[in-house]
Amino acid sequence: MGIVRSNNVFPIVIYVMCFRALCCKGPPPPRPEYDVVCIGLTGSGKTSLLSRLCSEGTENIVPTTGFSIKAVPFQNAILNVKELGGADNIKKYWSRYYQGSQGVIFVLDSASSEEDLEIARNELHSALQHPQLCTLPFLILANHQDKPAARSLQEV
Amino acid sequence: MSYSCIGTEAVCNSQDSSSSSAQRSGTSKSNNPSGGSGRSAESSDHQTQDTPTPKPLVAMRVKKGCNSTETGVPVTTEEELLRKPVITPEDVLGLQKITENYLCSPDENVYSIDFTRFKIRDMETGTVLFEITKPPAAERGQGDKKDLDPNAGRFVRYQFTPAFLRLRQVGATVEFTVGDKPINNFRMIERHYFREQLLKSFDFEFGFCIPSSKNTCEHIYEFPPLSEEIMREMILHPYDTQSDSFYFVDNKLVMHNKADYSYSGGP
Repeated sequence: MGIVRSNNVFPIVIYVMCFRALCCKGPPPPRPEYDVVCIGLTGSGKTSLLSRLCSEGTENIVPTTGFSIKAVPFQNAILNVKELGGADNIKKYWSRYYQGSQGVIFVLDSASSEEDLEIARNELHSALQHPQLCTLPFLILANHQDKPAARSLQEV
Repeated sequence: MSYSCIGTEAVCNSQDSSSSSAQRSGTSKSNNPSGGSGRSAESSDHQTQDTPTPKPLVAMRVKKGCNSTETGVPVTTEEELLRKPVITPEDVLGLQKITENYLCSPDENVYSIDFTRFKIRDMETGTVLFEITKPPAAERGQGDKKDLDPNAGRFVRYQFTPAFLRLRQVGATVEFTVGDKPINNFRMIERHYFREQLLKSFDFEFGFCIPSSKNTCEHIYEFPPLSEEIMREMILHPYDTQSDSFYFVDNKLVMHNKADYSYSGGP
């Protein structure tokens, strides 16, 4: 195999090093980290969402068949997100992953059927009442708003 | 041997057969030391000075500040671990150098844990530095496995350029599948050495793994502070940087992978 050299990393590294030398400052302090669990029914868009936040492509995304732990960087924090597959055979294990979470992201497909929305509602309520999650902040994300059938926030 | 290896910074040569099982994965600070599903890690940041500290005597408890393990973990040697029927996480945390042998056989992977993908990205720029995927079983040619070195699947050789050592924070993603038995407590301990000096030790608890699942995990790897001298030496001496990755289920060693590293930018 030949060696592929990158033109991306090296110049950036040089730049950063020079910048630091000029400014006489040490490296910036590490960003705080928070552990978050991300749940929702299958197809709601959890994996896609996290990939987008990490500037990764969403073309090859397939249903998550287990957990996917991702470090999502923001300017002043890093979110360690534990995303769990939403298929029936996976979601029965969700509670095995709640311990240690500091927040919950619940993703739902705003354009799903009434039946699915009802299922989502039940799952959300279970999570809200779970002893390991009930005191934590929840972010409920009404995804798929671009679909014509998407319900508004109020409706959700 | 077919790997798809997209290296911008690195080229990876793996010995013959199957798995891309070695990782350079690390974690940042831990807030959840409890087991189970928490992301817990104790990563010890070691100052790597110019001369490695002398090896501690056998059976001495290693104290904090020494260039080795965490406080209170007894020193262990490969020889004594090989005599034990079961090897625990605490056992490997006492190791002071890379092992010469594998501490378990491939057959001991009774949970059929299989590493299928590994990726490194620079957390400061988001650039993917390295990615390697194991092709699905159908493409791997099952027939001739018997003739190959049984350890071929558990060793990977990495080739990076010197710039790699200047990175501060990388995200290392590992993807693995699990057989049809649920795993209650899956834990990885990975130790990186330059020659006989421990550079960094990672301890990561995946916790519970759903049967027949495919899971991915990315941890943030903070590069240990390395002196210019050590970096120079690491660059000048390819493959003197090595790692042992130990995997435990319910505190029993089930897998052991190895890797070595070049930072000289060449084969």
